[in-house]
Amino acid sequence: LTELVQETGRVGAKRVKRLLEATLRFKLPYNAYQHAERVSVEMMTGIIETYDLNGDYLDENGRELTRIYVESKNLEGAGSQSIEFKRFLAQAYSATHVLKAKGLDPKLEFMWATTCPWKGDGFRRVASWQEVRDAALWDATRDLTVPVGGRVLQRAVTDGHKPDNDLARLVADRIWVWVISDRHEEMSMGTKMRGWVQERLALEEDS
Amino acid sequence: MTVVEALHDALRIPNPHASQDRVHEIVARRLDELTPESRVRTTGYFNHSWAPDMIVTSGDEPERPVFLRFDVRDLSFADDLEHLSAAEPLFVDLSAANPDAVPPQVDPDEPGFDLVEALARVGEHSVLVTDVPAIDTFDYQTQRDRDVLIATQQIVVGGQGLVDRPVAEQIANSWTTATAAASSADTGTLRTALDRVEVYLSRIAALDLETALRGRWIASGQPAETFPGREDWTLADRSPAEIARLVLSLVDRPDGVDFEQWRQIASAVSASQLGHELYRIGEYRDGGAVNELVAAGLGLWTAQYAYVPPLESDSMERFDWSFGDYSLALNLISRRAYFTDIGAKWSRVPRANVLPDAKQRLPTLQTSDVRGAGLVTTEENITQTLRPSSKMSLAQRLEQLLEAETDYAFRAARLELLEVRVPGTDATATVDFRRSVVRASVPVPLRTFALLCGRFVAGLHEDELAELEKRLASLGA
Repeated sequence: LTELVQETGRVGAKRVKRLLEATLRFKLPYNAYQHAERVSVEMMTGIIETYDLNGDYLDENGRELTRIYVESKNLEGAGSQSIEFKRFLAQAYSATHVLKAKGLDPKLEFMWATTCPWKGDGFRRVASWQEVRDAALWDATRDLTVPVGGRVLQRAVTDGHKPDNDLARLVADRIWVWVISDRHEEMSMGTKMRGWVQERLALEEDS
Repeated sequence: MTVVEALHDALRIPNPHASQDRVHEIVARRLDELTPESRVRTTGYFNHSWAPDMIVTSGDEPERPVFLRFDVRDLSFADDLEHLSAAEPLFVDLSAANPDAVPPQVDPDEPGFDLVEALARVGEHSVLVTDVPAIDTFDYQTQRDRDVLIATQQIVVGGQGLVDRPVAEQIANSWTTATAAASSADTGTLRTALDRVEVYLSRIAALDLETALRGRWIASGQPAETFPGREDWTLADRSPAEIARLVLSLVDRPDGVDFEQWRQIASAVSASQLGHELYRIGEYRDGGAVNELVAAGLGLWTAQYAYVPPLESDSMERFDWSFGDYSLALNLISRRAYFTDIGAKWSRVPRANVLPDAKQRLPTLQTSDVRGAGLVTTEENITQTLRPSSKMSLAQRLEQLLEAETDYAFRAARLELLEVRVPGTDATATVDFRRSVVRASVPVPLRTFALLCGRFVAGLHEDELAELEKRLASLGA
């Protein structure tokens, strides 16, 4: 990655982190640039995939519910998101499959946070269970010589794997797609209100 | 084990929450050790965008939020500076201890993110960025020389700019030079050394640092005003809080302070203000230098209210003065008298379980200054007040009442209230034994008030009163 691309990625991820944490429903202390191990997930094929951010998804009372992996896209245009998102769905399917196969289900959530949508008609269905299923099938059968988003990637889903519809439904329920508006800052609390909340949280912590 | 090593291990703990807790524990403990006058508490948030990891509290000063970060050296940190600078935070860069850290790729043709320049852009706010090697350096330096804690205290609560390892070394060394120069009254060296430290401090923190050093300057026999401070400084212009910190540093000096210098300080602040500010600082001191301070102030100070609660047992430190809890206080053997001018200060004190035995107190009331008393018996509450024309003392009147053999209730009477004239003044004072509080109608000389509390509240015997009077006279001499 060039320094510029890397910096754009860091800055975008930082903004995503700040906006998500401003909701008090997320704590995202780890990122791909500083904590590769913390943001990594094992795929069915044994490869390790990393995400931009990782942390906790909290319930409405601030209690940790589960871990969430966030892919941040700080883009001016749609770029190659369509194919990258497909891979993102395949990875979510694959990671969940690995854990379920081990008899575990830590209910990992996956978020795609982008500054630009990449599809007009039908955008609301980009993460339906059928899309998850199709993405898994695509990754299991795709031509590995064709780059995905400019990069040649190994499979996340095992060659020849026949996607499980129930697993695809489960994963679809754990996918977030968030298009970040330029005006998103205006939907967040300002410094003064954050100060009040922080004061209250500190009191709760003390008690 | 260094802080870098400890944090490295903590960051490698597989469970993220356990890892975060351990990191918090390590950093909070080290910051706590570097700030003897502050409290550091963790918040449960780790590397969060706006909720700090820790909060440093120092008396009434604004709290300082502490944010742990891994990315202060890349452009994404500008986001933190933009959104958090107004809170004047302290950022601790953990990257030196991060086992997973990947240094950003640097293009030699492109100017990278300049942290010092970015910090300069938020110059209106005191934002401090430090790192783990710097904490290690301070840790090492404070273990070598406890005096360096005075500087680290101010760096943590009011530091600004980038304080990395070389800067931390420079601060510690310059502070050591400054303290030596203060002791030898070497003005030029002192100012130069202070400048090297104060460039990393907010104005308030720099002035607080100078207050600590001014104590050393005064102890070396120099007038406080000749200290080469960054701003004009006269005792009379200083806030009670600043004078209180100066007093604390002087009391702790092993080499003592001249009476005249104590007197100058005492003339710049009231006993009430000084006692109150020292109480807010919360460092308790008694006897020795505190007696010397009060000796200098006794002829100058007044008080209007006193809280004189009983001690759990009679004290050996009889007639020693102290500060650090409630206000300036005098040990009266069985009680301690706290003096103030703040009327509401004793409005919520605990009620006494046992009131003084009225009969036993009669000898202390054998004076025309006692004008009224409130008694409690098993049968009634009685208030007895002498008329101005009365020929007998109140003690004599009470004696007749309490010695009434026929009425058992009177023999067990308890003293609830006293109204007394304050000797040598036009003031009157009310002693409320239920609340152990004495209220004078106007501020009265502290020496007089102390004696009044000793006689009427603590019930000192004549020989003890004579000793107290002698002590107070010698103090004020």
